Formats: sequence, C-alpha cells, structure tokens
Amino acid sequence: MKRYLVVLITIAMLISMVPVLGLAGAQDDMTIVVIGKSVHPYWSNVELGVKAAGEALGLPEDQVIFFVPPREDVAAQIQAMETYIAAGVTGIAIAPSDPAALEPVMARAAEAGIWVTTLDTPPVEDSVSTVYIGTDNFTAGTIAGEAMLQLLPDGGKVGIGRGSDTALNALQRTDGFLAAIEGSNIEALEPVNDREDFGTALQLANSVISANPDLAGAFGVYAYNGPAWATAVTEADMVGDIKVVAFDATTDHINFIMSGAIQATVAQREYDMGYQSVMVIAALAQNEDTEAVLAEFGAVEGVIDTGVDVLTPANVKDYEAGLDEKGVPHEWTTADWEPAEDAFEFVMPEEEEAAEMEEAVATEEAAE
Amino acid sequence: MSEVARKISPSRRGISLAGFRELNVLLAFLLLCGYFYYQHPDVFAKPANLAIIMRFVATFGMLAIGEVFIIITTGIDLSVGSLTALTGIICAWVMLKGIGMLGMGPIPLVPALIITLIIGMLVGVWHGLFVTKLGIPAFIITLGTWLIARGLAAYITKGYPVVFPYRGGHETFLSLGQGSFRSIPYSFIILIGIAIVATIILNYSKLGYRVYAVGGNLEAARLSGINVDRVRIFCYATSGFLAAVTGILMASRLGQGTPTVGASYELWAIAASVIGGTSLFGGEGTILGALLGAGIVGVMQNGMVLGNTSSYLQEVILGMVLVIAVVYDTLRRRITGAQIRTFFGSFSRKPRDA
Repeated sequence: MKRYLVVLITIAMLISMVPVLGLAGAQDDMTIVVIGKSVHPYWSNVELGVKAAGEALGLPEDQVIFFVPPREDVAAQIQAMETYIAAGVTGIAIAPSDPAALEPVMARAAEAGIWVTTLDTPPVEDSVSTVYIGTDNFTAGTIAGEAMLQLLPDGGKVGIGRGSDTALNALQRTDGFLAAIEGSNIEALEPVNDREDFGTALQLANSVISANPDLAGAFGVYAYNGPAWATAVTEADMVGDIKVVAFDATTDHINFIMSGAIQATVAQREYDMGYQSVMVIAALAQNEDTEAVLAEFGAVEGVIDTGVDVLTPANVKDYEAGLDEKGVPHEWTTADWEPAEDAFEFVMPEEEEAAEMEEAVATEEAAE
Repeated sequence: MSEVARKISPSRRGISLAGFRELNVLLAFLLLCGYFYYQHPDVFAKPANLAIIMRFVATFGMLAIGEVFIIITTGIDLSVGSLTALTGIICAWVMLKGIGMLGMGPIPLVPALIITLIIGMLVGVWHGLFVTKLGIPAFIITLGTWLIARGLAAYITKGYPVVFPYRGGHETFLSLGQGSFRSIPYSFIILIGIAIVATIILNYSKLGYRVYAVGGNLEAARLSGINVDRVRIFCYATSGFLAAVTGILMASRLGQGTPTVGASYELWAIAASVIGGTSLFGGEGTILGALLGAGIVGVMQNGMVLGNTSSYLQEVILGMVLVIAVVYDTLRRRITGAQIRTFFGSFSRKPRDA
C-alpha cells in the first residue's frame, strides 16, 4: 500500500512540474501570463481577449497563458504567481482577488525582473504594478446608479441583490451605486445576500418584491442577480413597473432586455482588458522607454481605462454589431427583435454633465 | 428478517416517540409563522408570498429527505449541492445541445429527465459502494464528489449558463419549476409526493425497518442477517436521485443550467434535517421533521427579508437557530422517556409514601 502511495506522489510531483519545465524551455522568447479570478463567463471573455492578443503578436499558444482558479481563491493566485516567477516568464498581468494579499508576491515578481501589471481590480496604492487596465467596480457601480437615477426620476424604493457581503467587487459595486443615488429620492433597501447562488438570489428577489408592493427599482450586483430580479419581476407580473439595472451581458441579460424586464445592464469590457494586458506587457518588454509605451496606450496616472458599455433596449443591436466586429462569440441574437419606440436610452454621466455645463454656460451668457 | 433485528430499533421509527418530537418542531414552525404574520399581516399570508416559501421548502426539503435517509444510517452526503448544479446543467445540456460524445442532437424532455435522474442515482450508488465496500468515510467520498461535481459543472459550461432560448419551445419543461396549480408551485406538489413515498418506505416497509436498524446498530443489524451494504447503498442512491430531481427543478425554474446554483445547499439540507430532529448519531429521523425543518429555515429567510433585516445579521440569526436546535436535541436525548416518567411518577407516589 505504501509503495503505491510513493509512486502516486512521485507521479503527481512530476505532473505538477511539467508546466514549469515547459516554460523554462521557452524562456528565450516572450511568455506572458494573465491570471484571472474564477471560472466565470466574464473570465472566459478575458481569456478570448488574451488569446486574440497572442495571435496578433504571433506568439505560439503556450507562450500566452491564461490561468484562473475555479473559485475566487487568493492562495491559489499566490501559488500561481510563485510558479510563474520560478519559471521566469516575461510578464504577469493579474486581477488580484485581494490586492493587499497579492502585493508581496507581485513585488517578488517585479524584483525578479518580471513585468507586473494588474487588470480588472486596481492594486494597492504605490503598488509595483506598472499599470492598471480596467474600469474599477466602484466607477461601474456609480454608472449603474446613474442609470437608476435616469430610470426613476421621481425616486422610489430600490432593492439590491448581491452574492457576497464581504467580497470587494460586491462591496465596491454597491458602494458606487449608493454613492450615485445619494441625495436623490431613491431609497435603497438593505442589500440581500444570496451567497453566490442563483436559486437563492431568485428566492430573495421574490421575497423583496412581495415585501415591498411599492418597489420601484432593483439593482443586481453580480452577473446572475439581474436575471434573478428580471425573473422575479416577470413572475410578479410587474415588467416595466419595477426597473431593473444589472451587471454584465450574458445570454439571459439580453433575453430579458428584449422581453423588457431589464432596462439597463452595465457591461465591463473584459475582452479589452485581456487583450490590452497582453499587448501592454509585450510592448513594455520590447521597448526601453516605459513612459512612452504607457502614453501610447493612453494611460493616465498609471490607469488604462477600458470603460463600460451600458446596454439598454435602445442600443443592444449596436452592441451586437460591435461584438461581431471584434469576433467575440455570443449565443444570443437580436435579429428578430426591434426595440420599442420609447425604449430607455442611457446618457453617460460625463456627456450629461458636459451637456449640463454647456447649458449652464449658455444661460449665463444669456443672462449677461 | 430475524427476531433480533426487530428488537434493535425499539420505538425509534414508530409513531409514538416520533410524533411527540415532531410536535416540538411543528410548534416552533407555527410560532415563527405566527410571529411573522403578526409583524407583516398584509404581506406574509398572501398566496404569492406563501408560494415563495413553498418553493424554498421544495428545494431544500427535497435534499433534506435524502440527507435523512443517509444520516439515519450514520452517514452524511456533502455532494448534493454541487450535484444539484451538475445535474441541472446535464439536463439543460442534453435538451439543448444533445450528447456530443455519442453524436446525438438535442433530445426530448422525457428521455432527458430519465438520463439526468439515472446519473444522479448512479452517483449515489458510487458513494454507497465506496462507503460500504471500501470502508471510506462518507464525509470524505462525498466531499470528493462535492469538488468533482462543482468542478465538472464549471468545466462543462466554462462558467456560462446553458440558457433555454427566449420563446424557444421548452414551455413544458420550464413549467415544472415555474408553474403552479392555484398558486401552489408544481415543485412543492412534487416534493409532497416524494415525501409521502419516502415516509411510506421509512415507516411502513421492511426496507425502512432495515434502514433504522442499520443506523441503530450496524453490527447487530449485520449479525441479524440484514444485507447492510445494500441498505446503505440504497440510502446514498436515494440522496443522489433527489439531488438530480432538485437539479432538474432548479434548471427549470431558472430557465437555465448554471454552475452558480447549489452553493452550500448540502449544509442547508443537513441543517433542515437536524432542526427537524434527525440525529447525527444515526438511528433517528423522520421525513416530516425534515420538511418542517426546511419550513422553519424558509419562513425565517422570507420573514427577515420582509422585515428588511440586514443580510449580515440574517446569517447570524439562522446560525443561532441551528445551534439552538442541536442543543435542544442533545438535551432532549439526555432526558429520556423513562426519566420523564420517573419524574412525574415521583409526584404521584410521594403522598402515598408519606
């Protein structure tokens, strides 16, 4: 019995060394690693962007590596970083599940002469990360809040559904949303926590709608929360009466936008995050002047903002055209569907502010 | 079955003791309902709100029934939550995309359901074989499946939900989890049907007798000629089967097979059966108790949302309910029926002695 165990352990150790050995062999060339957070459609899209960038650079497949742990797992990310540091890769782009916990190992990578960048989640202040690529969750949350403001000009009660009370992305999105609606007539209920479970999310959405007959809106923090609200709103026969603002753009988000149960969903451009991460590291590794490279990619104060798309019935057809152009696959199609005449259209805050400013200037001038 | 076997489980499955114990759970359940009705009279008892609670009980009660079978035989099944996700995905996948390995296109509703249920049951048999033939602790082998099923669910789908298309002609399947008969959800009716069958098996059949016997004293049951392995494998298969039923109902309800369901459902199912009086030491437990346990958790969850309770606090409260239930169960076990009789007997005897 013991002998078998020894054999098994040896085999396991050999297998675990294979990727490391493989990397060591490719060291002459460039090897770029992107580390995501969890198995999720969002990260699958990041992977598509990463692979597309690899192809654009003409790198062989095993030199553009995308790694995600099955669930959000800081320890697994640290372990992966250590493996790739030992392998001596060219650069690592990481989406830190916990920025503070990842910083020491990122610093070790930087010391070892590896380019370190971050994507999706900003690193700690004064991080070794050369550049951060993404839109942070707080900003995305404020945009969702802005959409809710535009949907509910008269205010009202709004339910919030999320998958965690402690995960940073959930907190930041919620805080951003709350910051945006602060001072308005919108009253946010206590967020309900489904512990990252779609079934529970729906259950809770049902309960919130049942408890608040005067519910005016609902905000879904995690990807499935939007569809959960939309299903509950549909079941309660209140489509359109309760405005749903969601996050991400999966097949069911689009289905519900078409059925009218979701009014707006904030989609981060995760494909671009993956693509840009690889491109930036490749450029950094090939050029002496870091600042010039970053400027070329449009970085401002160490941040390359990939922005968000706010999908509404009014623009979902354009969004599909945009995806087709990039070659991002999607299961849904809006081909047989047309938005209603009075479909909700979102105006980005900056544009709105700019418009307001212009208006203000115009009034001032008129007054003078 | 020999005479010995009949003596192994005195009153453990009978209605006499069990009835008394469920009464406590029933009282707690009614008290809770009364409290929330008093707090929110215009909302709590609305049919739509009751349907919400019934749907909750349909999910966790179904899994709790499986746990009752296994926990009675001193086992545990940690895999049911992950298995719910996996079987839901399998069901949606074969109906929408077919079976790639066999080169089959999308298959119709009934065969898809049968395939899914069989897979669930086989996973249960697999657990049973490991537990009985290899003597591996149930905790470990089902923990393995917990990981494997969750991993497979993520791997098969790459994280994407398998969504039934918008107006895609799967209305029959979708009505299983979404539809209702006079505001009683079909899923709840299915649960009641399964609960009745399970109760008949446990309380009125030879097989049920053996289940309690195995849980009461494994060696004694074996010596008395019961095929204990087969009984235990049956229990694990039941749990796997019911996880598949839950997976199907969940996929139907959500209109998709998705890896983001089933997280920690096993813990809620175990909690429901323990609150309902199932003993983790084996040999004790009833289906009705487990359903009431699931009802208590469901009513509490619903009631706390009605009261706009902070979600941080909700988990604290639910955890405390579980602790209270277990402590109560342990204390109750110490004070046996005989002690109660002696206790009351002492009152009636004293005057005569004096």
